[in-house]
Amino acid sequence: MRRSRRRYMLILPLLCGCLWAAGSSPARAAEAEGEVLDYGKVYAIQYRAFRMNHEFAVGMTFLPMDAFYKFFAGTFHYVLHFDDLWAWENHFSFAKYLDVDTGLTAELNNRWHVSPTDTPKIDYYIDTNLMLKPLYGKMVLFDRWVIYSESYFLLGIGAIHVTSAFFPAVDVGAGMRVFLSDTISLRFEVRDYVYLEEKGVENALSFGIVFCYNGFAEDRKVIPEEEVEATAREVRP
Amino acid sequence: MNRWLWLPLMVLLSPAALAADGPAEEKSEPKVEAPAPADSESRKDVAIKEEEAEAEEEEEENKAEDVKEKSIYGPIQQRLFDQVHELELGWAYLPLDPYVKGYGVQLAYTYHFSHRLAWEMFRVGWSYNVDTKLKDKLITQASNVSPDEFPAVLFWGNSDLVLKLLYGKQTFLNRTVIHFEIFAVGGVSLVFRNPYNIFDMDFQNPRLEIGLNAGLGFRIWFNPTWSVRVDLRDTVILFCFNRADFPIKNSALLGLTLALGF
Repeated sequence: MRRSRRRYMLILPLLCGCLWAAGSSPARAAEAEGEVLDYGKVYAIQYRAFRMNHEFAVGMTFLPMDAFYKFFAGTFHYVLHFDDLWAWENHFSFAKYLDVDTGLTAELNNRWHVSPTDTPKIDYYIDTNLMLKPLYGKMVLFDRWVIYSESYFLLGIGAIHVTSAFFPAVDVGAGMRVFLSDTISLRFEVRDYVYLEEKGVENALSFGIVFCYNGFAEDRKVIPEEEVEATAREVRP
Repeated sequence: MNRWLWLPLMVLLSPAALAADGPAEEKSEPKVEAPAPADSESRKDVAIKEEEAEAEEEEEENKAEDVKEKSIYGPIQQRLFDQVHELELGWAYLPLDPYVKGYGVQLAYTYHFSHRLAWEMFRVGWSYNVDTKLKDKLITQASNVSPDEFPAVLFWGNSDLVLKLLYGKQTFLNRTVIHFEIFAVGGVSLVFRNPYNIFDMDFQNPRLEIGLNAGLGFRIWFNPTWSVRVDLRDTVILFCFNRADFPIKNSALLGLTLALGF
């Protein structure tokens, strides 16, 4: 009993301290100007300026995690956007011949006269993903230019061709789309592929930049009145 | 008779009297204007106030023009979250060394000059290094390989300039607004590399090195005080002080930190 009391005596002040720290001293500028800090509270949300429909995209990906080679890959995407929240992506990446030797093989050979034989290379991979787009907004660049953006998450399955065989893969990812116009946008994304190789589970992390064309964009610009009303109802306080 | 003489005289003299009244009134005007100094002051005040109002209007117009100059989209909303001092504590991952993977903690302090520029005065970190399969294989299978030959980042200290490029907000499912910031960093690094972890207490082959680092970061605010940062940085190690050599090594860091702004 005494031990448990002592524990409480230690934990309670710590907890109180944390709570006090969490609730204290908001940032200078907003407070100084007497603004009401209504962060997170939604009064009204502008209707989306940009809406995707059929997306055709090409891009470049960098896979930095392999010790022997850093891979670059050309990527090709087709995304069917069902609505503002859900989409379905089909993706193919070609990395063969685009690898860069890190010099590790030469280092092993020069320093210790060791020649690694088991250095598999990623050739290409193909996957199909569910795209969830829960975040849409705008940001300001240097307090001058307003840029509309959308954040998304990916979850999918696919296959990776490594040296001579296909291996099943699961991938997760996240990214941000920056709208340049009704039809053109740029995507910056991170994906991680977990694939089952002969020796066990392997991992491939990729950073990509994708140039996207929004096909049939005008079709999505016509907004049904019911949808507008539904959105308005959602955000009404 | 005298009565009848008085009448025309009165009639004749009345305009003179009236005329005499006129200048009398005219003379009295300065008397009305006697409090002239006060009145002129009020007029001056009015004139000054008008000038001030005009100046204010001009200033407002200029401000509006400035804002228009600043952004082609018109005025930009005031940032909801801002900070002067920032203290960070968090996790770090160093994935690029082929022989070890580093799992560490880091502490940083940043002073924010403005919405655009900040100085990350220091970012210090410690890494616990875990050997990769490649290192294990080399040590166990090759007879001429010693563990001393694999110095890995144990401690690091950075001092960077922070350029806050983008500030924005996004709606989460059209219900909650999330504020975020994207920034770039660049500066100098001091790196202490050692083949063994700190718990091994073996500092026979240490390397104290200097390099340059650059990277990108992303911050999401929970409230005006607390935010979470994700940092991706790369350090190019250029020179070793205690060995006087130029290793030109690359060390990437992925960080996830909780930041306290005040």
